[in-house]
Amino acid sequence: MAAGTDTLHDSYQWQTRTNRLGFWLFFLSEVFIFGGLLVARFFLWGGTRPDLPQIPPLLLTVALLLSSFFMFRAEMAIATDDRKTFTRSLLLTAVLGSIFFLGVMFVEWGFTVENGQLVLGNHIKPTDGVYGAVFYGMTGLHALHVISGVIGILLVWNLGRKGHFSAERHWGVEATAIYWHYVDLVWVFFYPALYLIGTAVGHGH
Amino acid sequence: MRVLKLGLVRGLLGGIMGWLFGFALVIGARLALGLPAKWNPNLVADTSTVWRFLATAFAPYEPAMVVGAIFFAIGFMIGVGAVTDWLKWARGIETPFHHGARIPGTPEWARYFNVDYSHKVIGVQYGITGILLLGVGGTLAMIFRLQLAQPELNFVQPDAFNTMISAHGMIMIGAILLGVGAMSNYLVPLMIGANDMAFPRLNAFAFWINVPGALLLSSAMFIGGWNTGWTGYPPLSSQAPLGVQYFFLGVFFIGLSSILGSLNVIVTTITMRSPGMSLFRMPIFVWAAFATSIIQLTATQLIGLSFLMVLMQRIMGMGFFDPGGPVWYEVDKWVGGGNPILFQHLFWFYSHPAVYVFILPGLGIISELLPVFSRKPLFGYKWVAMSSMAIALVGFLVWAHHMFVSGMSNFLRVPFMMSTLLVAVPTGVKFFSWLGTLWGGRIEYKTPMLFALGAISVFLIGGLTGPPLGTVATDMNLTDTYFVVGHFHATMFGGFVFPFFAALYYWFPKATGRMYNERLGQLHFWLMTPAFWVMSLGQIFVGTHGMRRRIASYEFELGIGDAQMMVTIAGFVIFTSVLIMLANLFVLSWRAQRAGANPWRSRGLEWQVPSPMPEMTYATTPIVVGEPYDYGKPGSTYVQFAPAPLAPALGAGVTGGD
Amino acid sequence: MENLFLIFILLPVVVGGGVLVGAWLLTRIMPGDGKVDSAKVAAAKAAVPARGPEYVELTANRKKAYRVGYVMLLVLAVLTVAEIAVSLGLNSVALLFIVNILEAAAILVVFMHIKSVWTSKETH
Ligand code: HEM
Ligand SMILES: [Cu+2]
Repeated sequence: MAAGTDTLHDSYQWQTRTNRLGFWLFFLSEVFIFGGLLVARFFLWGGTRPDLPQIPPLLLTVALLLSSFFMFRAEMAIATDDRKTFTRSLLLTAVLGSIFFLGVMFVEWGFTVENGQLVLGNHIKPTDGVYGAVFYGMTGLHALHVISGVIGILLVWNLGRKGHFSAERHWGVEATAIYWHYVDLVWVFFYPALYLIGTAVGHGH
Repeated sequence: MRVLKLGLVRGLLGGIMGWLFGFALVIGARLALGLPAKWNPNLVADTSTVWRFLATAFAPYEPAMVVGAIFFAIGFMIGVGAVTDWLKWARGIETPFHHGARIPGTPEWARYFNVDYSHKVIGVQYGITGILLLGVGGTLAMIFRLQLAQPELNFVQPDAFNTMISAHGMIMIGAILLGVGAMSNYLVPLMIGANDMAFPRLNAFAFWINVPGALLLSSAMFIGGWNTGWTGYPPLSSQAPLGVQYFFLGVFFIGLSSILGSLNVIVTTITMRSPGMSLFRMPIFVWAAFATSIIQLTATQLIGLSFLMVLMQRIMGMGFFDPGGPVWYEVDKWVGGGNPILFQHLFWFYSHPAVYVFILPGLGIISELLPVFSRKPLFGYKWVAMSSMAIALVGFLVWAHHMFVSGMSNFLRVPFMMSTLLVAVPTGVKFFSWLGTLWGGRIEYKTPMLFALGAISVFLIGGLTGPPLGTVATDMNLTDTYFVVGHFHATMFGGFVFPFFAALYYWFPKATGRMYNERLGQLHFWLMTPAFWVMSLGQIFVGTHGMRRRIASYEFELGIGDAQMMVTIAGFVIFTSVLIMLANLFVLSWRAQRAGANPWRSRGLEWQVPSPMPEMTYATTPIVVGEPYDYGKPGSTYVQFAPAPLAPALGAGVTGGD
Repeated sequence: MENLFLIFILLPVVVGGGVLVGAWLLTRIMPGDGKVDSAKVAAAKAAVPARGPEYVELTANRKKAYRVGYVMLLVLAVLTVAEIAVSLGLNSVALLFIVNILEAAAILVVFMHIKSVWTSKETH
């Protein structure tokens, strides 16, 4: 059946190197969609920002940075063949990532039940003009990346638990890790753009 | 069920199931929350004709339609099998990589309807899909050209006219992107001496995601159409009929393909060149594909983002772009505060560089063919290579020349005018290189060469109409007239269509082992090229005489009826001539004479192996020892083949997973 | 409002979770080179080099690697505090941007080991 074997595509070393290059190019590509949102933020908000509570986003940022620490620890653990730390750190990363995701949804967006109906936005609603639009656009796209990262981490954790990966072969772990750090990196720019820069103004309910 | 062996059939089934699932999910959730199924109860279906019914029945369910379309694409990709291997990796199952048919016991032709990892199969899949889309877009053009053939006709109703020109524009852009994908997927590995792309699975995924994309894009015409033109500017697009959402999503998925495909081309070019092939020994087409890929990889995100933002604005009332106004589908709901200029910035940040995506590969093909058929070295190889990169990079800095009259800040006009005119410099480099290559050559006027020369003549028209549009003072008068239409048809035909046809004729013997009919090829050329000149100059003429863009009818008093008639007739001649090519290549050639391995006496790597090429193109590793285009220089060689495979075959392959 | 719920919650969760699970099941009935040659996989696993002195060195590096993580944690903490301080106290966008760039650079260099893209040595 196979009309030939491809030695190149089956060499793990070659693969890891090309995969890595490909993954970084993907990051480069994503810079443009996140960058576009930042452009939209400065175009539409200028030197202002919506007046939002400051403490919750700070705590969420801390959770995300902490999760990045554990992700790094997990990668270093498998690279030095410390399986226990590896699986544990992965799980911690996933938990912290989920905290971030749920925090964005339930604290920042704030789903509440009003008169028996689910309502979104105890601070700001997506329909609140440009403030709502950009706020939900930026946090929404980022949250989509967070949740896919969490799924990836859980998949890797599941495989790691079953004994996959080794100090010599763990591209899967590395890929998930750098993806996760990348999501973190994006937040490093989104957080100040959303919550810190500019003068807070009411956003008109 | 034997048809289920065909990935395409499974994909369509999966897509339909996905669509129903997504639609039901949203409507079900609404009902569970105690809300009515319709968002806007005032919208009722018009049952007078099937057409009207389709156009009105879905409009009240817009958000559910959007979610359905997203699941359509997901279901399609799962059904066709484009993600099977990746899902296996996620479960820790390794899937070694094989060349050749992936499903044992299926006939050869079935490979083209299935997920196949061979870059040659994928290249052909891209090409055929591209030509199909070209046919759809072309047919639309023929219909609305009839409407424009004479003043004040009533052949096509304005709504349908708007939908048709919008669909024509974006479907043709999809066709061009697929054609570009065809050329780069088929040719880049061949030209650099590799047996496949760096990521074969990603390559297959990138092709197949086009299919749901194209289907959504085409189906947008039936569920209400849309009236925004291919640019989809809000606030018009936020008020447009439902079709605009499927247009957005179709473009989104085709754009995803661009991003993933170009990523693959870049990695392949960087990591898989044969020994000895330094950057400046790469064939010029590889340079062009590389430059194109840089644009596609990065800029495409922005058209996706801008369309997504309008999509969200429509279904969620997020006011990015609309200064203020009612949401059309829900009663008593308003958005406000946005800025439509932002959309244009985001949109053109992709869509201007995108025009270089359309032309750079084609210009690469021209530079590739001229030396072969004039038996002379390519004039100024390094300059041509670098000019592709320069065009790609400068192309990122000119987007606002589409917005001179949009109401953006006035001070932006002059800088963007300057940068626009700057692009003419690297483009000029290419022209001089072509002239220098032709100069004093012993030119063989075979069909591919004719098309390359035709491309130059046509691209010249497009290139010369560019600067008047790039200059603020003249553009104020020319913008939104048929002059612009003439401009971009000339650039796209010269930069893509003619070179693409040249490439089809040129590599056809290599791919199939059969020679096309030269006489019919010449006939195609001699019909198409003069007809195109007439069409293009006619468009420019009516534009300068007051014909506006995107207008379904025009007044007698403009006095351009005859010119419009000529344009329409020329359009039909072009359409017919393309049918001749399709017959020549895909019908008559099955009984045509065999072509040898190297009918054009080319120095390129792929011409040194038999035609048609074996599954593994290069059984032994080619080693590059000389310059690619030293035609007519005695004793020079470009490539040698190593006596035996360089690397011993490894047994078990382990891919992905851990 | 209800659209929000649908798009922002149902979509990520269903796209992420539901599709993966459904597709996971679907892959079992897909044609293609689905059968895993377990002998081959075992052979590939066995081909991993024996754990010699290199391995000992590897595990010795463990502490060092973890320490890098702690240092990064500290750096990120300091930079985050700086970020808040700058935005509350000095209210300078330029300074804030510098802090962000530093933070991003640290993540790129240490966490994401960006160097591995161009250094071909296979470290991990
Ligand atoms: C010599 C280089 C070029 C210059 C200076 C130039 C300049 C311009 C300008 C200023 C416009 C805007 C006209 C208006 O709307 O008022 C325009 C439109 C356009 N150009 Fe070019 N162009 C050049 C080459 C190309 C090429 C190579 C292509 C592509 C294949 C291309 C495709 C287009 C398209 C598609 C439009 C119409 C966009 C729309 O729908 O509004 N141009 N060009
Ligand atoms: Cu342009």
